[in-house]
Amino acid sequence: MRGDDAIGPLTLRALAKTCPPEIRLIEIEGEATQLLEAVTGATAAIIIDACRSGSPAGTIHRFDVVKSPIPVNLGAFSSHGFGLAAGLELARSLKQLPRICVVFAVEVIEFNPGAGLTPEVSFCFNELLAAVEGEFERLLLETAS
Amino acid sequence: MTSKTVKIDVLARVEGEGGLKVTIRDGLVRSAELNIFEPPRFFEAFLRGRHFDETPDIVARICGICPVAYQMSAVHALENIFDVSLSPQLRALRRLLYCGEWIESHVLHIYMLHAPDFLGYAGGVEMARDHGDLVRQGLQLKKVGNQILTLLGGREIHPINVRVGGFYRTPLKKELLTLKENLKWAREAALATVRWTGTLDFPDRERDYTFVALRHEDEYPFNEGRIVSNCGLDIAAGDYENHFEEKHVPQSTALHSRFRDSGAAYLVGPLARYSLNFDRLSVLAQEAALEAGLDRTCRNPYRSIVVRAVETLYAVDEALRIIENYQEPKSSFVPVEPRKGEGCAATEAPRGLLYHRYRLESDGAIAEAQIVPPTSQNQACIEEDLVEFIGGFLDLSDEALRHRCEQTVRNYDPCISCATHFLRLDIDRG
Repeated sequence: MRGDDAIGPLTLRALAKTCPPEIRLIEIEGEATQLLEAVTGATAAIIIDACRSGSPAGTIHRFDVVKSPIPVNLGAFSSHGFGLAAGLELARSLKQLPRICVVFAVEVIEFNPGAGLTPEVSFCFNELLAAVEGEFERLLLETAS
Repeated sequence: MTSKTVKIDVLARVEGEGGLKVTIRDGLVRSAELNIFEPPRFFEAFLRGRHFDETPDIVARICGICPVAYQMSAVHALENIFDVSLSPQLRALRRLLYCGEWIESHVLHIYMLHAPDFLGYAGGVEMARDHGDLVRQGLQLKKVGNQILTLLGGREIHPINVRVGGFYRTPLKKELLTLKENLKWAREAALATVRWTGTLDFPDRERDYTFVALRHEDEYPFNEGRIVSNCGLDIAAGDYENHFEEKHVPQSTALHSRFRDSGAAYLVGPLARYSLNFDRLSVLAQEAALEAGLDRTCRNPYRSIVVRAVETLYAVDEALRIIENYQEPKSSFVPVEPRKGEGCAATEAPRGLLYHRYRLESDGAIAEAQIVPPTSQNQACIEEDLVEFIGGFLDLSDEALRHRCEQTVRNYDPCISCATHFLRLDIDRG
């Protein structure tokens, strides 16, 4: 793990204990084509990633991607600029974006290999978990109805 | 005197942060500067003091799209110090890993970064709205390259399975065979890609380049070969620094490489590799290239999209050949003992020749590292292309001219992040 950059995988591991069977948890490395494949055919997608936009560490952003693209200043650090934001926009262009698509982006500051989460990001972890679980409940209600 | 300056603050669809300034006076292009302002990344300095066996994992972090190239040049350079040679099967697996990287890197550039220039779109995302099936074909083809990296490298970005002396784990034959059906599909898709790119509308521009690439006695070059040119150069990697030198220029945080004796620019990458090694391509790739309108030598950089498609077809064909002939090696690596010494190697990254040199202490700690990426070597050539070609496009509107300038840079698929390793530091103490 590389410090706060592990916020996505750590959240997934925590969710695995309580995740309803209708929801599939997938860890991807940030490559756009992987992302495209993961969201294709899904009714809904909730995506969790680290970001740096200038907000204080531990800030949780929530974006409804169906309504609008991820803001430009949250564009991920990605080889060939082809990461999360580009992957989602490609899914939109190819008409493969799920009907519901939400991104939680957590402001991070520490990327050193082997380092754990910083106190700032640890502090927001339970809030993030609750927010994602809230999305799960909402999704299950919506899809059931 | 009439004057015009074309200024592009941030180049789109290239890896890393760079800009461009072209100055025109009295209808002639007077200068072109590729401005690379991405902060230097100091990888050579990071490596100093680290143990040699950490090198493949550290250098893989230089680039998310061509990590295998950095790993390969590094391990070959270090193995030259230890004087070890790999078994044919380990060597074949390294070649297969390189095939995976060429496929995914070339296909990304062809479909998502370069094709929009020819089809009139701002980028791949916009192009996908009108050419969904084409983009899906590209993404599926790229995925086949990623699958090779995942199986052999442990994961598709920044692989972790390469070590000095071989691999941490080698695949079973049955594991490699799982790639075969997808590769057979990929061969047809790559052939279709060559045919499609051959139909694009190319500006009729050529230059008398000095091509520099590896040449192997019987293979299209990935990991091994002598460094050759179309001007008579034929040297071992150990002589690289006697013939080429890196220099700092004010407009770039990446060094420019030139011939040491003449100061001339040179070109590395698909055009050079193809033109110096056409006879080493598979028959299928040769036939597809000629059918798509390429000659055995290609001096039109706008046609590099076709050459990349031909190299993709070759890489798929070669991957299939390697998998069919694979026999599981007895050991996944050759043991090495640390020793003091110096070693270097050059391999062919998707963007061109990638040179590494390492000096080790007796305990295996790295005392010195030098890395010369392809984009550093091509910078001077990119600027010369702009000076020579853009003069013929001056009747275009400012917007169209700006686009043509960007396309001319994108012909090289430059990887600016790879190139910014080093910042020259001059201290004036009065």
